[in-house]
Amino acid sequence: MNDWPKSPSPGKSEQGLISCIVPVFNGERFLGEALDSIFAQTWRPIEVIVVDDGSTDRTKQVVARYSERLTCFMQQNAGPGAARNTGLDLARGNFIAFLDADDLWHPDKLARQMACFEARPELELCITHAKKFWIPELDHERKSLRGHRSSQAQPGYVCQTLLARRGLFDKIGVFDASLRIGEDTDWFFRVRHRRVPIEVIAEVLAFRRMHEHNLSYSIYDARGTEDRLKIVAAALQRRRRHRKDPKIE
Amino acid sequence: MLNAEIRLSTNEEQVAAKVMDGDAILINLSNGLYYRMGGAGGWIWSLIENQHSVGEITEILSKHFALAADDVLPDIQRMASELLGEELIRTIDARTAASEGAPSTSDLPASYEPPILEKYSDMADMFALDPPLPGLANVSAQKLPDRSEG
Repeated sequence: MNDWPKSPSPGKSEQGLISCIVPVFNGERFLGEALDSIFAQTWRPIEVIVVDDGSTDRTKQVVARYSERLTCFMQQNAGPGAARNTGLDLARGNFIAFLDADDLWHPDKLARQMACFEARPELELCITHAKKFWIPELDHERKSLRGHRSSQAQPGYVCQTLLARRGLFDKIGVFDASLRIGEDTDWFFRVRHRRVPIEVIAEVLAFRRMHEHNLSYSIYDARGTEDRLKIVAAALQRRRRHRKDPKIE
Repeated sequence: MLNAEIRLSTNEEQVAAKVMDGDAILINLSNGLYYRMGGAGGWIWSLIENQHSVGEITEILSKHFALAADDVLPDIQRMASELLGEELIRTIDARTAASEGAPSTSDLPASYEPPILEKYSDMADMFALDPPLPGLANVSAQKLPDRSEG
């Protein structure tokens, strides 16, 4: 694990194009709000790429309302990791951000993060804190979790908070599409293993909506547990390989 | 030192675990710490999953590796103490019968290697957003098969 090589400084004047990738599967209910929170960003320029991962609901109609302002790519359902990777293939920006179709950004999220990149030329990745919020139908859960760690702001090692240089995905690799859950955890784990410079903004600039169909709940089912164990097993294997040969990252 | 009659069980409410290539991989979902049990650790974990006692685990391993029980018992006691200290396992009523199903021996090393427990904390902050949720069953019951990606 060598020190991460320094990237060329972007310079104060760089106006980096940020590709905002939105993977969506049956996200008709909240997609519009997510897109609105992207278009409300105070940072420009941005491009918005929606990857429709085989939706069978009215997602297409929601996207159509924004058709002049975004690019939409449709594919057969392959899971969130594959959808994110499709978005990466299509992205033209020097910087990459993700917003899931049910989540929201603070209007200054991208601007605050880009300020970090300008202040720290060696920076490859910036995340923010994130906080969950619950739809009215799940108010009982919100109440039952009041004061619980799950309802408090936390450093967001999840896609919704990240802003990364495009080149970081070439160095670290893309998302493991075989993981149904935690593909971002796996990616962040690889980032940490390579000691990539990362800035954590200790303010809540991303909001994760909890609703009945939220994939986040799958973390707690058998498949989610299996995926978490797979992520940890891969991390242990990387560690073992590196211990045997420090040149192996 | 733990008494040989002490019966053990995994703390399955907050621990995810799997035996892979002879090692047990464990995640404490409540704090994000994760562990590798190496040496004879993978098999010991499987035996704890079947709620065997310290003495039974010692007997099974010593028989399999043709070792004196007195040589193996301190390792089992030490490992059980470490696992209890990390809240990965718990003790249960000694009168509980162990499961009859024996864990697979196909991944066992040819010779006995004392169990080791490696602990890692570099994932704790990554799991912090999604700790185990109390009362999750109430929410799960309302879920539908098709989920949005978010």
